[in-house]
Amino acid sequence: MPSLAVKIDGKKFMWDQGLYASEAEAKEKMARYEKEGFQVSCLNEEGKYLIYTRRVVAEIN
Amino acid sequence: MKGSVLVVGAGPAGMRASSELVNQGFKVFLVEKKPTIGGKMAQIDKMFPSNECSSCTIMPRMVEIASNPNISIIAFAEVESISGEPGDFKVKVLKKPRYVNPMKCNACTDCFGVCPVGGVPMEFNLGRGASKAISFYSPFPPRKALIHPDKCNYLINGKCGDQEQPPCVRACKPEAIAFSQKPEVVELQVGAVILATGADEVKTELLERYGYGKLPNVLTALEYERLLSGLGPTGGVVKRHDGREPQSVAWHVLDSASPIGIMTAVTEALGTVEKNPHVSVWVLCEDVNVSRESYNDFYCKAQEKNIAVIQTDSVTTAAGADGTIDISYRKGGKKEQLPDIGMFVLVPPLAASAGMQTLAEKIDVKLHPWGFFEKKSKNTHPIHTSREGIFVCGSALEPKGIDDAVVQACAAASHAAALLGEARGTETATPPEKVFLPITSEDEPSIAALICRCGPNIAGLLNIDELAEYTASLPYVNQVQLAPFGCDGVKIREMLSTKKFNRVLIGGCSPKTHEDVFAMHTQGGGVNRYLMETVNLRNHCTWVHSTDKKKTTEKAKTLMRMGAGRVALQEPLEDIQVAVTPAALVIGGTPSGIACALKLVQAGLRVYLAAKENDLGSLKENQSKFVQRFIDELQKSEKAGIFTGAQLGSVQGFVGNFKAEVITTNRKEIIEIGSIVIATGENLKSASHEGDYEKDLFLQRNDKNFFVGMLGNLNPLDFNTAGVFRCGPARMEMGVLDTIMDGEGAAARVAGIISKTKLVKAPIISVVVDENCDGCAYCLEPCPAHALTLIEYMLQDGRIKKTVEVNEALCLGCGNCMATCPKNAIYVQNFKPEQIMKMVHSIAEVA
Repeated sequence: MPSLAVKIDGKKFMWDQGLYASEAEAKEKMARYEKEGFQVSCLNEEGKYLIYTRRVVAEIN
Repeated sequence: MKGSVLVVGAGPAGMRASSELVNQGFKVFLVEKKPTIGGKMAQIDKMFPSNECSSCTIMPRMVEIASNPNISIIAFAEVESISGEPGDFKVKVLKKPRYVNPMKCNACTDCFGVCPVGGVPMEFNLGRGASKAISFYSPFPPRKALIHPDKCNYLINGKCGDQEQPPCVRACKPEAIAFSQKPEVVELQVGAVILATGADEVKTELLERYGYGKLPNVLTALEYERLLSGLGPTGGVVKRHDGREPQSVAWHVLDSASPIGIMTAVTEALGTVEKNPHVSVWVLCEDVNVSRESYNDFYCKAQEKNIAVIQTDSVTTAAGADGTIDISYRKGGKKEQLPDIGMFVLVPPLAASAGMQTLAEKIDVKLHPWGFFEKKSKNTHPIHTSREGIFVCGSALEPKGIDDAVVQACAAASHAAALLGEARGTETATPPEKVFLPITSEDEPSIAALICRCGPNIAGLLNIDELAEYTASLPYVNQVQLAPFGCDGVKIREMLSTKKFNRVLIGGCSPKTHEDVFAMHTQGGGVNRYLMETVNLRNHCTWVHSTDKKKTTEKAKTLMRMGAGRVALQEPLEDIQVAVTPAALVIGGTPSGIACALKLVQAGLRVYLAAKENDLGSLKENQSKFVQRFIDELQKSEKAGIFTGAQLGSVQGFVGNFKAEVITTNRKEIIEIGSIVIATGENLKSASHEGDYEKDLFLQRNDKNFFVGMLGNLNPLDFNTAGVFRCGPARMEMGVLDTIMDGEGAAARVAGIISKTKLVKAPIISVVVDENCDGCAYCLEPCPAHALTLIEYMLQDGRIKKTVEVNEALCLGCGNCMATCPKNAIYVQNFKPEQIMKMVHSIAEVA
């Protein structure tokens, strides 16, 4: 099971809980996340592509 | 230019100067004429005005110094000569023979038992108590045996016992006895010299007039300290010459001009009644000189405990019945008589330490007629001696309290650093990488337990054998050892050298003062320091329940059980490395702030000075020549950024990395700094309404509007907030020279941070269990360090979840978040809920 959270350049990123078979598939998903305003990062683990995202919550209710 | 400093004298001032210098990247040679370090502070029982246990406070500092690879202690040695120039002195040091090789001696004491010569008066105890001809000089480092050449049979007659080898040689397994040792000259090269040779009691015929040397129960204040001290010859029980405890004790302060005498007498009187409330005490003095606020507070509190202070015009003594002393005094022309006094303690004036005249001649430094080191001229800084590059601090300059000596030692370190700034780091060695046993949190715990006797502080107030037996019965505890002082590390390292243990449980002093020292020994034994637990048997048990030995022992058992339960669940952690911003902010254009800023730029460090005045030149008005010169030099320095007409907004961050808002008429600027010094009594933010740096930095003021600093005589310039310091008018009212030295002392504290590229932070910080966190954000508000951030993340099915991110550098490990979280989703490392619950259950189990 991949790590739910990783640190990338000192920032915490969270796994989207998907395992992507190809880089192209991962990139497509990443583009969708970026459009939503998330920072994204992709890691390759044992041949699978993992996407990690984060977005700081500006307003807390 | 050499990057090393010679410090002469290893009392509190010399030790502190050494620590500050080594912390800034300079190599230190610490020369001490006695065989062990600590000076008078190691001999006294409690310090004024904090009433802290002196040896408990200084012992961990001594161990740190003795273990620092960049401090070479040359004990039992004296400086013979200093030639050369500032930046490049050549020093000759004469080491006296111990007749024991300190590199081989393991402090096992096997030689003491077999030595046939006893009854040797103990110099450290000022003649009280007796030792063998081979002994330790004191309980303090360097803990190496020493042979008294004028008492040792072998050194006097060439033979001891009926065998060829003397008994000590046969008993010494590491073969450390070295009868062939001769005096040895050591040559050193250093860039600067700091003299911290202290002061001694003056034992003139004046003392004889009051019966000293004639009546058996008349003694000096320092001699009385050894009777009060738990590490003294009577184990902390004050005893008269005949072995009986006195029912009444009187002090006579012979020097009322300085506050040192009256403060010493009152501290000793307080210590006496704290040990035995049935003893009646009187303090006789010509005048009560306690104008300093902290001294006056202490004096007033002491008086509440029935310590009678009587101002007298004259005092006369005569031998009384049964070893008592008849004391009469005159007050306003009237003659009065004290009741029979069991012991009479004379508090003599202090003068330059013995041998200072000889030292001054050898190193070509002038002395005042009254024996203290003299500065070059009237316009020379008090810390500068008559010889350039040789500085002086502490009681070698004039008698003073330990807190003042510490400030001056820091200031002297700043002066040496300013002289040698460009050679910083050229002679220091990087400590070797720590090697730990491969311990994981999955390994079954195997606990090595150590219980400190701590003189009578612990062992004297509970049944220590019963406690040791109980501790041995606790789960996972595989060995228990008793140690005279666990902080010397001997027993910890001995147990860990077997490689059988993966946890360490210590029952001893407060972790506040001793944890780093215990951790150092634990790591030295190959065990991660976060697999160690310190149980505060002293402050949490014996000191507060000193009257009922049985109940105290029961409580100690509970505490040890709680500690054992917790340490078994601890995990090995790695320290956090944090990069440091190499600059400082000094708040306040006061002489103290200016002196602080100048010393930092002279040492090659970047500094910002925020002053409320619109023109720094205007500060020169009504200032001494010193301050005027400082301002001129500071204004010329490229390393100084000066904000005039400045107010301060909010300050965020942590030691090594702060961000401060500085607001002037033209602009608002955010500056990044690694450390902050408050050198003003005023609040610079008052007009800005832009933030409150005092609140941001958790600073507090007392009812006189001075900033409240860290407790303790050894921390006069520190706040409880790491990386933030106070000096001059931020601390208390003081004269201009004192305020300058305060600022320079603060500069040393700051330089110890910003001269480094990285700081090490303990990993006792919050960790989020993301699986449990639902992003409720309840934890954010209670976090005083603003270390938590709410983040959200996307799941592949399009749902958005929230969790919390911890800024490791900012987190204080306070546990507020843990207490607030309703989902068990955040905890402080090594303070997991199961660890805390284990401790709670331990209380119930013992009950």
